[in-house]
Amino acid sequence: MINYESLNPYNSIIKYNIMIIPSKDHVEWHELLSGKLNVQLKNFFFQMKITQVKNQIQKGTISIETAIDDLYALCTKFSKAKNMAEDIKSIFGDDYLEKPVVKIEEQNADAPIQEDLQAKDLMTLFKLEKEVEFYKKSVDQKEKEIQEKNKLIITLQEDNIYLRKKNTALYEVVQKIDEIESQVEGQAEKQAEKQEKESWSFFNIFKSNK
Amino acid sequence: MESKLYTFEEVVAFIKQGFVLSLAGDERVLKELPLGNWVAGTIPYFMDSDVGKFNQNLIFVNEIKTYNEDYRMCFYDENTITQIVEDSYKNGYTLLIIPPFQKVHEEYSVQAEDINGLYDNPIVGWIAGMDLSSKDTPKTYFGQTGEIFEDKAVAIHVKLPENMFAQIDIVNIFQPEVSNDEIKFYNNSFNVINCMINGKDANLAKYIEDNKIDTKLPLIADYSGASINVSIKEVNAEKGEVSFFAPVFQSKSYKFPKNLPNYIGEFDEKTKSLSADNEFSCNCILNYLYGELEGKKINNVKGPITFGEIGYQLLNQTLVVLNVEEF
Repeated sequence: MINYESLNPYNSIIKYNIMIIPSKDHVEWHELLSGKLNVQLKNFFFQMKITQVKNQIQKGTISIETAIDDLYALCTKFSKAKNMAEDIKSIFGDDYLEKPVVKIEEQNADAPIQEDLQAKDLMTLFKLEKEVEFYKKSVDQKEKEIQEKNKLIITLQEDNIYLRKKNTALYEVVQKIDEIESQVEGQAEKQAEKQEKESWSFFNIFKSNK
Repeated sequence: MESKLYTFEEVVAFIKQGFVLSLAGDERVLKELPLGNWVAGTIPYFMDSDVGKFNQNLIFVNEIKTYNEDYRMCFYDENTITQIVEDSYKNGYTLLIIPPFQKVHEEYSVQAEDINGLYDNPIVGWIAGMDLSSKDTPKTYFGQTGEIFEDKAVAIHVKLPENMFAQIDIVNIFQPEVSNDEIKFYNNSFNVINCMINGKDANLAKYIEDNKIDTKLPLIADYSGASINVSIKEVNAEKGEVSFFAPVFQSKSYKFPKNLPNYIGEFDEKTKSLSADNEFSCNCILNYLYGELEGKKINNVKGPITFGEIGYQLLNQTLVVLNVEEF
């Protein structure tokens, strides 16, 4: 339950419970429509609707699953209708769900009201609760995703550092090789010059001796 | 506006002020009304705010509150009546008036149970009638065009805000007697010759005669806890045929109730918790006649006295109430 403040400061808040229709996966829905569970209901809509769908199932014009979908949606729509809570209790037992609700009751009609919200307050509250629930789930999911991404980023960063280090080391090795290569080359050149000089001097000696 | 009988002049003023209205009255006054946002059916019997009355000059008015939402008025014949659900709003209700003993009446009463979406929103209403001692014919009126029908149903589809919903309640003074014979029928029909009684083929007219069954008592079927009546219109011993004010269904088992020694007392007891500020209510002509309601006040029972009631489907000898509530 979220804290909700009416825009009309003069309103009083009344708390009461509403019934939540048990979800479609409760076996009692199936038993009710297949005739395994025979309950004498009190709500007129519920009595007539159950009779209609049972008849349609018997005729084969509707599947039990479709009938449950339909019935669940309508029971939710008329959940606050007269005797509906009693009927749901007689089908699903005493532990049917109840949800606390806050109703806003306007106390002073002449008071300066920002908006005429008495009728809208309750619906706004429902919507806000649903939105908060939705966003809470959504935020939890996003947080998980962010955590996963952060882990991935850290791994990538570590990999990157490792690769950079590797790269630096490799670069240094290459530099060293280049240096060694140039040194080797320099030495080879000097050797060649020396050999050339030596060969020239040998040639000159040979020539003068002639 | 209080639901009660008003003078012709008062109703004209309501129409001119733009109120959306459901009206009931004698054809002589209804036919003189100006065009406007209203539908009507003929009947000169009423439960007024004080007592039950027969009156051919006054008009019973139910203001249709629109809650600043849309509404639409439609009329239907036997070919279009099953579209009534498609014409309604996602959240709201429909008020329907049908002329009796016409194809549209038969089609709706027999087919209603098979209409998909019939229970998505309440459909409430009544079957038009006439002075029982006259040769008048029941009629319906479509105020937006001034049309008068003997064979078409008229309806107002009302949209409700998201935070509101409509619900139907019924008051039936009869309960099926568990020990009574079980009666089943071979077809969905308003007229029956043969049936099955406790699994054996039988003639219903003869069964009623032999067992001295009071024909003021309806046949009753159990709809998951709701007792739904089918009232006897006539027992023709010569033809061996029984005719009803609503169809009997092949898929249902029927029983007669136990006798009611105090019809009005039972009615008074069952209507004690009825709220005065309902959106619409109507009661059956048979309850009015058998309960001798003329000149009597019964709790908060008000509205036209009708030749049949509609609470999703056609009902008999039943008081029907529509309430609009906030979530």
